[in-house]
Amino acid sequence: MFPRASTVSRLALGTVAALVYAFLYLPLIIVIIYAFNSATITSWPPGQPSLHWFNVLWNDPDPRDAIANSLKVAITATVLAVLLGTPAAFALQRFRFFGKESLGFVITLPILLPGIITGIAMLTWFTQLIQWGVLPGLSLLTVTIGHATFCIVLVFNNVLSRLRRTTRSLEEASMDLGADGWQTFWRVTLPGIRGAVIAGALLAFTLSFDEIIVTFFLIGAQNTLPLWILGHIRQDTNFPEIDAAAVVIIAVSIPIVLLAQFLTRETTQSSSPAKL
Amino acid sequence: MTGLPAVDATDGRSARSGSTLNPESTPSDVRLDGVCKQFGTVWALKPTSLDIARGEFFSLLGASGSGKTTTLRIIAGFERPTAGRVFLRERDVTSSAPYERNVNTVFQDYALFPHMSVGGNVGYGLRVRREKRDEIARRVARALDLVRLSGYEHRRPSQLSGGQRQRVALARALINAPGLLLLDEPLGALDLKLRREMQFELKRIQIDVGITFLYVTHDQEEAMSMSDRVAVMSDGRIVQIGAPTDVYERPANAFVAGFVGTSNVLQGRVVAHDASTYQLDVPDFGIVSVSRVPGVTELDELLIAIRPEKITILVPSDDGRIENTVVGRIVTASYAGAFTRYGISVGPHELAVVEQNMGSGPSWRLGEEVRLAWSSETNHILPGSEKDLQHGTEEASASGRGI
Repeated sequence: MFPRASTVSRLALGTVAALVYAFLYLPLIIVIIYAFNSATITSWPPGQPSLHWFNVLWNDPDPRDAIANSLKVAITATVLAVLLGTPAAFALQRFRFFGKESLGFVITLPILLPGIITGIAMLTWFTQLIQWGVLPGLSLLTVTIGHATFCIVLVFNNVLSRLRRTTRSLEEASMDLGADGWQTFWRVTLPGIRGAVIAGALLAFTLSFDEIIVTFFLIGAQNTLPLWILGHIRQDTNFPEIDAAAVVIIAVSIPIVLLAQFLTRETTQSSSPAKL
Repeated sequence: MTGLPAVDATDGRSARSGSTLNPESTPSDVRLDGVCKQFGTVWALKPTSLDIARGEFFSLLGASGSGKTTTLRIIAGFERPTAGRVFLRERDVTSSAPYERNVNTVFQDYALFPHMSVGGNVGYGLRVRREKRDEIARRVARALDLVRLSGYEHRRPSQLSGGQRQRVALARALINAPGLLLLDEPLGALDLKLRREMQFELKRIQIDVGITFLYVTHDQEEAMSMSDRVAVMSDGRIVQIGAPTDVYERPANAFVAGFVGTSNVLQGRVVAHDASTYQLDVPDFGIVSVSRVPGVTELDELLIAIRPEKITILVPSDDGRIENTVVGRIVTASYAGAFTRYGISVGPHELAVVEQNMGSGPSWRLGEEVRLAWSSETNHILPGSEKDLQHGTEEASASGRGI
């Protein structure tokens, strides 16, 4: 137990904490307030509570297409990330091979690079491919590939850290009990890392869903939701409609992030003895 | 702990002597033929040959790094030997996968599948062999009954105590009716009292199911109290194989004498011999007589070892009518309930002597002068040098002395 703080210091701490939280969350709260309001311009004090702007958003084809595009890109990039990131984590944890040390770094690099660098690099590369006739042009496909490069990292890191915490003896026990390699993978290994794969996938999804910089470089004629919002802000019309769209993004991503956190926290229940 | 079997020490002993096995006459369950394992430039196991008879409780005893776990992992199929052949029931399994061997393992960390219930864990081996559901349920119930965990089918491993997990691991291995059960320090994580109880339990189960147990441990007491035979290992080699009494009473060399239990070691020069004994001149002790051993005739400098409990403490005026006596002084005494451990100085030497507390408390006081007496049969000649002995003592204390 920590010693009890005096009343004064508790009051001071409480105030500081409240200010920090306000700094972080007040902008979000204001967006939410405007989204659920009938006023046509964002001004203070807000007008009557209403779902008017959600109705506008729903009946506006542009943001609807943008949301659909964002979902397509995010889902495809996530699937790619799971299919490539999981085996990569396995390879790095389980096997010895030439270049193993640098592979981890090379895989993690895209998430460390500024988006603008990834954007320029990939745009240059894709333009070349388009000139060679390999790609028809910039499209949702090029955006998806761009997103996949950093989505892989999230799956890779999550699975790798889970694999590092699980003991090989579970798999040995499975083989010892008569299961061959495949049976062991499906019955023991996969259930052990399932949570980590899903958590990594959820984080990858949210990252892709609101990504803007790389998307901006690689997009063709279509729009994703963040790009639509960006474009709309500049036009300075129907401002609360953007607030409603922002609320949609918040409503999608917060539960996903919470779920991902819950899944990574739910570690493999230790079957090893308490004292070793 | 619930429902432990009423096995007392005498039962355990009679069971062991009753099942004394002769490796030549019983079919061999495990045969290692020149098996060795090299990791990089390190020899984890030097070329080793070994025969374990069917139904035997066989222990590999050694400190960490002695090669005992490597031996077990090679037999289980988790490691491929660098050279040599492994036979199980006379079938060459050297290159077979673990799931192709009729062998099951109890792991040191139990390795229970955390995402399965107790019943799911125990029935795992039957499920991967696609046995029928009701057959699996029946056999799971029987296996849990064997380890006294009936009714625990639906618990999760995380809800069990260490001892219970240990028994689930045992049931999971035994349900497949293996020809051989490998146990890798299975009691290492349990506290002392539970460990003692589980020793009896393991021995009872082994007698119940009648299959060969290969037990890896660094704990001498465990190895001694359960095994039919013990192999003492050091530096990737087997140093001695024998019944626990052989290993303890007649250590093959100075290493084993130092590793298993405590030994007082004296060095002396042979000055005379008759048909059954040598007479040694040991500085500060005078003439010490020791039984002759075949194969050790021409040496004139010998190491001899005496166990602390073989020495009787007498008053100085009593000669005890025993061949070997020497006068010393009590310098340390540590009372341990059933017995007292004395340190007794004889010249520059200090002998360890253990005496049962027959009366109330220790019978000797610090500083008291006493006569020590022991017979020529209870000390024995050790091949090997004092360095080996020191090595043995160090490895024993490194792995937590058991006796």
